[in-house]
Amino acid sequence: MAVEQVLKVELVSEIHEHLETYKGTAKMICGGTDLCVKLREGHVKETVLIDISDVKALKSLSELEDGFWIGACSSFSDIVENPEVRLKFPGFWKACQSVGAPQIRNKGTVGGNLANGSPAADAAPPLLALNAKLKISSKANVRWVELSEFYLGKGKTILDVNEVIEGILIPTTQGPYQQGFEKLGLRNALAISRLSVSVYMVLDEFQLIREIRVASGSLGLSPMREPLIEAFLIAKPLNEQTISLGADAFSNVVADRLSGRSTCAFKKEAVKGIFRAAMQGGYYEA
Amino acid sequence: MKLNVNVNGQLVERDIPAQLRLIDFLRDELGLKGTKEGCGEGECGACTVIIDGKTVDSCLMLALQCEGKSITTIEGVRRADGLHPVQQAFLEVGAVQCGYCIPGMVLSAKALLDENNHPDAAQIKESISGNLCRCTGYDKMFQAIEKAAIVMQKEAQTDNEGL
Repeated sequence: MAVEQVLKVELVSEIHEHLETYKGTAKMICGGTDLCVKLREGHVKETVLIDISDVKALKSLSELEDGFWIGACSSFSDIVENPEVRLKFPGFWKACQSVGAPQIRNKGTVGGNLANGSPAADAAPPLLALNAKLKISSKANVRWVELSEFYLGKGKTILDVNEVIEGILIPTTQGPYQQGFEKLGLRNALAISRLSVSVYMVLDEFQLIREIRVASGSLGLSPMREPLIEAFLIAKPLNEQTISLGADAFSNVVADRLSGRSTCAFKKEAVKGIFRAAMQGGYYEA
Repeated sequence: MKLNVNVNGQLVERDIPAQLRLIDFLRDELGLKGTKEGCGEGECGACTVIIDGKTVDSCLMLALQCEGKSITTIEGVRRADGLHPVQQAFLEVGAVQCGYCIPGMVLSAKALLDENNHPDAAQIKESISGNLCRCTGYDKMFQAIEKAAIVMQKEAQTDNEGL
């Protein structure tokens, strides 16, 4: 079935209206970097596309009272060019910068990256590590959802047919922290990540790990937090031994989770190096 | 559905199917065959065009998404008085073999130099990282972009002195 209508909108309220009117038969398009490929392959069942790429209200990047707001329609280039993001969220910035190539970053959006539900979404692990939440709205309702509760499986999210992601909030934290991101692709540019890890870490005055959040991409049906690794690392001193044992623990987790899959042998080794690199994150002090 | 866009400085109005991709609009509706289709999925960059100053893959956009925007294709790069410095440099350095990737490559380089005419080596490489070439090995393209940058620096200087 082909798309019969493309409705370009400029306001969030117009998105809500169209989603109600065409419930289930309409799909949103923003950057289109994934959707256009699916359209070409005939994999889109909806007959109406709501083009939200010019909704200015969904493109802002700004510091709010309780956190940093990233409008869902911000392109990866918008994010990479933002000096505040670069300074405050070094792992997230690096992930956005590693997406595709300039042409893809100029169009692809962070909201689309999440909404697609891909296990390989580059933006997801660093946002999970930052405890990000999503503002999701429909005509009648607004709800805030933790990103860690957003995914239901490969290509599946909790987003209802009448809902749109307005943006992402990264909650403000006190004191210095570091955040890293590393991904493994088959080449530098234009590579879908085979494996990615992001780490958010706070150390105390004795260099003990006081707070830690570890998230992964492409190691399961969706991007996810890695509670076993977090539990292993918490309260340990940040040194070579901890990182090395943490890498082994991660390798065991991957071996269990991907057991029986062809990628298991490769990923359980590769995750060690990727984890190690993600632990060398950029440092930020408010 | 109705579409109004500015293509290479000219306002165009057309009635087109909803699902028409930008690349098909440019090639089939407007006859601008300089925009090439390689992979059709955003891997190769042969279909690169510039929209409002930013490069995009025209195979990954619907034409209708471009309503009200300004598009530059390879046909719009040439200047009234001759080739654009990027085009000239590609010729002089001999950065072209089969040529299929060249329109996209030239547009990516132009978009870079329009924003930054003093790019470092990493920035040049990054700017064409979304454009695959299976002939040249990229070295001569890199040299051509460096050469074009010098020409564009001089132009900017002359412009400033003229003010």
